[in-house]
Amino acid sequence: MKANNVNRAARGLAHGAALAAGYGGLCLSVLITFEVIARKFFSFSLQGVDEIGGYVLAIGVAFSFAYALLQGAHTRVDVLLAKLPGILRGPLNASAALLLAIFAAFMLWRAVDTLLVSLEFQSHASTPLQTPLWIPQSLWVAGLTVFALLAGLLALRAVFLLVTGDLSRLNQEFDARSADDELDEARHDYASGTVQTPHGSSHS
Amino acid sequence: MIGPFEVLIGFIILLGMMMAGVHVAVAIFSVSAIGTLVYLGLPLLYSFGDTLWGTLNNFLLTAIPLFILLGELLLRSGITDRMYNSLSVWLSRMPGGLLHTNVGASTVFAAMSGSSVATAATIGTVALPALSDRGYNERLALGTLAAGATLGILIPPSINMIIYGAITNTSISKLFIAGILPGLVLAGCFMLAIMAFSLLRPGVAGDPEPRVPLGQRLRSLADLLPPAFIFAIVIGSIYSGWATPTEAAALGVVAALVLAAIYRKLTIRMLHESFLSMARTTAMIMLIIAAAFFMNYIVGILGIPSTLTNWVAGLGLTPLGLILALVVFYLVLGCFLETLSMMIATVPIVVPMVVAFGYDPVWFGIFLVIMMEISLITPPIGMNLYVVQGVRGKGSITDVMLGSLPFLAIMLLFVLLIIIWPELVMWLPDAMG
Repeated sequence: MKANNVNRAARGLAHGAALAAGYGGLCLSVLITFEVIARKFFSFSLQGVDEIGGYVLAIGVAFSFAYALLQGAHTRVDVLLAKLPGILRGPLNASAALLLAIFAAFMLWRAVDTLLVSLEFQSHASTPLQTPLWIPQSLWVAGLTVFALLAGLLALRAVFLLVTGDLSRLNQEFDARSADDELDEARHDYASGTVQTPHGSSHS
Repeated sequence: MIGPFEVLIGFIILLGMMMAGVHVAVAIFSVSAIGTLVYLGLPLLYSFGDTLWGTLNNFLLTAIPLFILLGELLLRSGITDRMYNSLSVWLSRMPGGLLHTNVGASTVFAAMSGSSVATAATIGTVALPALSDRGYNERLALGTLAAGATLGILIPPSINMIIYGAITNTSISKLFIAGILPGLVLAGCFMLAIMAFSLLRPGVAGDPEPRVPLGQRLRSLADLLPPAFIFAIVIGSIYSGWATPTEAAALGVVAALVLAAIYRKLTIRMLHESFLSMARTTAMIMLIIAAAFFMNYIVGILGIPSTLTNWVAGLGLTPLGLILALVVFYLVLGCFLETLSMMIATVPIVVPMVVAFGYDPVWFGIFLVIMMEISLITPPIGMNLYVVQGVRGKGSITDVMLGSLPFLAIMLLFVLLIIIWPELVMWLPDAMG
């Protein structure tokens, strides 16, 4: 099925982006360690490690938003929601998905504007590296684009299920993660490293 | 410009959206956007792109993913089991036996990890099999696990303190150092309570542990070296001023990699699992923080903190009265909201008000973290209760809730203690200069 392919491609993309963010964090840690030791013992500084650290965070997080979305990790409060019958939960789940998509789109729109301003004025970071801001900001916008696209796709799916009246499916796919899911995940992750299932699989 | 009544309406809209299941970040952003449109106009709303870039491109906040990565690496590195066994050899001869080991192991793990949920899951997984064999009172044992694990966010490093420090412009180094003494004293209070229970009702602590020869006890100390090593690197480098919190987190990550390699647990797969967990948790936290920084900005322009400060002052509330009111406020809010969301959504408004009443933002940060610890074991949604129940995998969640209640009471008394005796919090950070 075509929808299935899109789904799988999106998951693969988000998964790869999250791994890349992880490698970014790892390399940054090594770089910072080198910088701290060099600064302390050899009175020598690489200059600009903190600036790079900021870019790694901005870009890594932008690309991880989508992965967290697919994993259902973005926080929702389900105290009340969990007690409602499916007929009420369905519209609420769909509107949450829709609002998230609107938020993601707004974020992307404003981020593009920030990037365009940087390009127009050829802004440079006011740091020793003098980084032209459009370089990190383009990657950042790319990450937010993936997030906005995925949030949009999911919202379309939720609204489609709502309109066609397939509430049980809607709730199955879009219910807030309950404490049960969270603890499944915690148990899965923290069972002293004896993790069995392949990573990237959905826990919902 | 904006009165207390309008602020209340805003807060109700925020809570209402959250209860209706809207994503927490979207709810925080929406209510800020409504405030902006009603009082300030569209151009300010358009500045969100710059806020977003400013929030995310921030070396201070880079500490968050690095500390998460540190925790993920540590709990896959196999040092927890050894640490638990070593502590049990030393602590389990006290009245209360292995229950002390639960608190002790949580304390030590907390000193390496910035998360309470990770602490609960890790220590719970190691401890529960040992406990069920030996006839411990199950409820009390579960309570020590759920409550002990809350120390994860009080004893540095702490993700929650990084977020608090970043939003309120408070020194994260000072917050970390300020958490050490209260964390140790609170752990000591838990242990005293366990001793008291075991002496009053001898049955609760199960069979006495066999005596372990001194030589073996001394040898087991070697398993406490890795946690001590991580703590010394991370907190030592901050305390001595060698490194900022973000740099300390990076040093910790590299040290954890070395430890994992020594224990032969360092594989590509283990790394990838850690990376994915890091990406998921960081993205979840940062989406809320991005919205909260915008809220912080708008709330400041609207002058909401001074409005509320004047309003509270007009009520004739003393500083002490205000803090006690906040204890009740956070207790009640903790019954509805997930802990981190509760902190992030309230800090922009509450902290300026509290500071205007003469409280030190470092002290208030510790106060807030302890209130968050309480909310982690407050029914019906305290996260630690569910994690411990999940690791246990049988019986009813009610057992965990009832077992945690005595510790909940201790934590409330502890909050009163730091209100009466703020030096307990401020002594170390003040000594740091």
